[in-house]
Amino acid sequence: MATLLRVLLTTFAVLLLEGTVGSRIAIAGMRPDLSLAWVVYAGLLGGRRRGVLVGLLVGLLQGCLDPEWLGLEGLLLAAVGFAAGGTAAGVNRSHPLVPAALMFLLLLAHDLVRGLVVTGGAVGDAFSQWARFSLGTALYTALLVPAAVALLPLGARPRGRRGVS
Amino acid sequence: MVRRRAARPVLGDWGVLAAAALICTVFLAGGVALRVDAARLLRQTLFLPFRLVLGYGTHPPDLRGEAERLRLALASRNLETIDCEEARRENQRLRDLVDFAARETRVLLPAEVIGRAPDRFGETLILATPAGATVRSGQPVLGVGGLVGCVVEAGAGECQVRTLRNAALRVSGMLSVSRLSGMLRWRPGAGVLVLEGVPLSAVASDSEQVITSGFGRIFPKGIPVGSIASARDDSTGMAREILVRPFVDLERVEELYLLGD
Repeated sequence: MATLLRVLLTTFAVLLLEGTVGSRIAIAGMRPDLSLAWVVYAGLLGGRRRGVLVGLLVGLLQGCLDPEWLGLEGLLLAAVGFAAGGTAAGVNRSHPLVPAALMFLLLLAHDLVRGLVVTGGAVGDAFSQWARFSLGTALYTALLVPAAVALLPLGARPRGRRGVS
Repeated sequence: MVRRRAARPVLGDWGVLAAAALICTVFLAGGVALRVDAARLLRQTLFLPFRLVLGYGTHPPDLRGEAERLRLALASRNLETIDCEEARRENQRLRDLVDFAARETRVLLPAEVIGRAPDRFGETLILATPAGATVRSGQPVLGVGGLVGCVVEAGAGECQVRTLRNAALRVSGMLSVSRLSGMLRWRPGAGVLVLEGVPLSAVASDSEQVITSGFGRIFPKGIPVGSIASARDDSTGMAREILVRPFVDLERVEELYLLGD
């Protein structure tokens, strides 16, 4: 129950942070994708199941504000959480480069699939948008979020399941 | 000692992913109307605690509505200002064409009420005047809403003002729309101003106001005086008399303005 509450509160806090601070720390129009970063952390530290559930929750909450694609973001972020959780067993999760690399790769994959769906399969448009925005965003997110997490007090950092992380 | 085994979840990792995919697919396949309705429902349920805590559920919509109304009112006033400015320029051109004397531009001098002297003839106010200001007898005195009276005696740093509630004061007034004029004076028994000597054709309508006519050259033309309370034929039956409520609450005035030259 406590874990569920913590996950919910963190999810809302991340969305709140993204909505308020996100635009202020944008560089050349590229904002860090904090919600995807949170899903990656949830999957990495909590496993596939938690990654999927957090991804679904975050995706649906984001979809509330953009009803035209409600469901798409939930599906993609659930997949991101699943993928992040899948890598958890084989890597040293405490190493800061692991979440950074995962964020970078999964954000690129997420944006590419999303671009293809939203543009109706127009590969050229999707790749053009991906190259213009996603590479920078992925790099920015991968550099910023793990660094910010490392600066957090120990108790406030994302934690894995007891005895696993 | 028997170790209790942790309960296995009903769905495995792949099952959770499949369930999540199913939920999302239902939304995606359900059409835009379903997605919009679902998003509204989710917003109303999931964001409700935050809206309540932040007061977002009640105040901002009102504020937004009020801001919208104010913006509309401001835009409307801006348009009116533009029209007024255009009318002023046109008026000036026409006055130039017919060679009227240039309309005077006047300044307002602030003055504070420091005394009130009611007597059996009516009311007189004592005002503290700004240092260095030239105040003369007969100078009009205004409140925020309109005419208050005129200076009857000017001294160093202060002056006495005869207000509209003084029966000794006569003001030449006119109706703002029909432009019919008469003489305004205070009627103590009725507690209102009376515009006397107005032609019988005068009709009391809500759109009319009583303003100064500028006749007699004591009060400039167009200063608002009051609204019409009622109208009736006078005792001779040859004219109408119109009862007028002053715009300025003369019993509560504290800061007034002397209409400067």
